[in-house]
Amino acid sequence: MGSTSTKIKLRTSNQKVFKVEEAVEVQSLMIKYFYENGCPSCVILVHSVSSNILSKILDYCKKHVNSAAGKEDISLEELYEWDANFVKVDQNTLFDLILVANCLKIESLLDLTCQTIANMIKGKRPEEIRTTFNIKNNYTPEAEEAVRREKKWAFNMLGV
Amino acid sequence: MLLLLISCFSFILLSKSLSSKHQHHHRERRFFPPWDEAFTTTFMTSWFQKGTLQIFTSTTPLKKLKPKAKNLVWSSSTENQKEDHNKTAPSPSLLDLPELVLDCILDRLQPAELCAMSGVCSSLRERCVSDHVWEKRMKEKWGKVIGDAAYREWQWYIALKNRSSLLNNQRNQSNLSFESVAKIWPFLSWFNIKPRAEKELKNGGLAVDSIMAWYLALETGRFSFPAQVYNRE
Repeated sequence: MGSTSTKIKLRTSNQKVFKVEEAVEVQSLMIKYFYENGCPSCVILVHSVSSNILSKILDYCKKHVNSAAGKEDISLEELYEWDANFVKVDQNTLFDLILVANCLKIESLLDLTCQTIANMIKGKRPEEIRTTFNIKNNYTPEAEEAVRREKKWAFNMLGV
Repeated sequence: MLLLLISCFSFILLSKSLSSKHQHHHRERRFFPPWDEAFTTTFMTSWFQKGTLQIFTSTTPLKKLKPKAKNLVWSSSTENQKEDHNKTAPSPSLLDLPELVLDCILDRLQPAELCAMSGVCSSLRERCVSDHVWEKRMKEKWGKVIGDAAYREWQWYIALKNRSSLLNNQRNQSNLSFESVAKIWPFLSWFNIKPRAEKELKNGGLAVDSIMAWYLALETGRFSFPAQVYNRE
């Protein structure tokens, strides 16, 4: 499965074709699966994802593979810091990263991005969560009141 | 007609248990090859949609199945990828994320944050109070202490609570309502076709037999059970 034998390509919405590199090959379960199941030369369309998202993901995979293989002299703390900086992006980019990580099944990136979203949720009130993540409130006033009572009850229970 | 109804109910029950099983499998395996599951889930949805039984299945099972089926196919065919991405393009909403991803996010939240999330909208609430979200937390925190005996104690506790609330109800209003009968006779509860989360909201509280209620009861010490600690020295 060396990079020379790689024939799977990724095509983005702006018609840019990326050759799948060894780094992504190692990280992405999806591409591994394509290999192992007799589809070694196809083009995967990653629509609505711009080429800079994909190149960001390539960067991520390279960094992690290189550090794991010992090709790059980087400590675990430094890698964490690099990860933390990697997800310091606007929300649209973050969601795109999640979707591609999920589509290509890059587990570590999916973990990282999901944790970022979870951190964004932490300490927020429902109204704030709604505005941050663009969620429509579909409760009727009575239902909302019931949910509020239930939440208050649960919060009392948890001692928050 | 009666025969038809009975067979419908048993099928719905079966499908519910199947769908919950799928969820667990799905979480464990996380990933492919999902063809067998995809087939069953899509088959179920199409079956339900075609038939007149739609009324009975109401919203939850279908809602749960639909995106999952889409999600599974998504990883295999490129056409569907396009669809999903386009949907999220204009403004990213948390609810547009694939189900698996949303579960991943919820798994990383603390109990208090889950409660806050349940106040956001009804579909999130359904997810945040669901047993399968709380089961993991329960196992993590209490799994080592709780066994069958403690579970039986909890069932007794619920039953006693139900009975006392039923008695209170009777004192308040002398006529027996359908709901209070359903409480004593478990088979009748099959007739409650509405999804549980929605039903709970109408009744103004969380279902007592949910894992979330159990977790909260344990956390606060409202429910306690005898346990023995062995000294291994």
